[in-house]
Amino acid sequence: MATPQDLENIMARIKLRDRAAFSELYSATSAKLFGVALRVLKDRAAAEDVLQEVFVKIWNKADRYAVTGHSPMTWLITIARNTAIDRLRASGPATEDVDEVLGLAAAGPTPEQAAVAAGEARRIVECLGELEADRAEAVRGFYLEGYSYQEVAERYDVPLNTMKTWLRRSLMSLRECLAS
Amino acid sequence: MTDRYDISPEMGVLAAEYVLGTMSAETRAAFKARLVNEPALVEEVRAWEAYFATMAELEVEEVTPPARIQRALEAQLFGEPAGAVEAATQSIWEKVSFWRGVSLASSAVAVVALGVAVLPYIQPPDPGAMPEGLDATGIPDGTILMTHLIPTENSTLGLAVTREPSGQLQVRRVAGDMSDGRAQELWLIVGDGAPVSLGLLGEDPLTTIDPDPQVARLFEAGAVLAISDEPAGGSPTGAPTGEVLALGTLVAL
Repeated sequence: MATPQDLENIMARIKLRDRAAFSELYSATSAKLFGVALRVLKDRAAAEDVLQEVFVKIWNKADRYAVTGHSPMTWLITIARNTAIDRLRASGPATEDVDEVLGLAAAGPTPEQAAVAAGEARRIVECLGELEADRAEAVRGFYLEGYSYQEVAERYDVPLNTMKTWLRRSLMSLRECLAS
Repeated sequence: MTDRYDISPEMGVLAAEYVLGTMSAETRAAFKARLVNEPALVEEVRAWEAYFATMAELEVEEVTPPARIQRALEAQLFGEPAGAVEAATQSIWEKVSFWRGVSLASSAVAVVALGVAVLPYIQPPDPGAMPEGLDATGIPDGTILMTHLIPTENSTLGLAVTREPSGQLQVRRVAGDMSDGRAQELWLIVGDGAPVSLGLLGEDPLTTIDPDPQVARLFEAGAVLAISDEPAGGSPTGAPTGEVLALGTLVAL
């Protein structure tokens, strides 16, 4: 099992176009990323396509990794999840990486400023546990299943606007919990 | 969440909705416009990305993908052999496009160098077998096409090829040899078309090949001839499967 530091080293080598490092990254992370793609798409063939697309992006955008301040797994999972969600929503890309929005000259945080320390990020699970179970599941559904408000409203049999309010209140509670 | 910047709870929630992808198109566009000028908001978005990705990392089961994905991926990115015929065919194409340029540049030299050598093989066309003024392939009567196949990087094989007006090919090995247990197959590549097999080279220095009329019709100045290394008996697939050993472009004499 590759440690976060192993993955950092691998990412640094990939940035230098080291193909062996790319192969190592694939071995270390493809099962997790395939799991994410499958969870979103629920279709093996589509998830296989997306996995390949994800690793092409990883290779081509490796020089953008450090700018995000993300841990390697956060960066990789974000790419995998967004690529899978985009595939799910046939109407066109609904997500994009912040870096694409900002371009190269953006005044983003410097690489030394991690977005969230890895240990701190794990608190999301604990904080989700403090929400009512169905609301925590809805948040997971929005991230991992590409739910729309409409779908979640139908699933929980609540009006659309109620659903929106639910989600916002849930996110507000999450944010408070994470900041505490 | 993060105390590093002054972000209102409402903007923090908007950032989370942006990451989840639940916003309407208009709200999303407006939010993106603010991101460009507000590093604090970018930080907030990245924090949510990290939280949600960590949730997925901790909660989503790993599923080992099929091995063919990695092979396809590396073939796509690096053009490396995927252990399959397709990859070998792809590599011949890469080499064809590269060597096509080299071959064009050297063809003038080849004509001068080999012009004398090929003369003894030229025979007058059989006038009864073809229409007035044209040979069987539509090339003007009496035109001889020739090329010098120059060896590729890891090869020593060199050949002189003439295509007589009758359609017959004379392939003369001028450098290099056969490899034990392997065959050398001659291919014709016209434009962007797939390689067409012309047959296997014999042990002797001179191989004479009489292509089928429909294949003979394909020959033209500028077409490429190539030799590939193949298993004994020739390519099992009908397309080149091994290394390109030599390559040249046909010119009209």
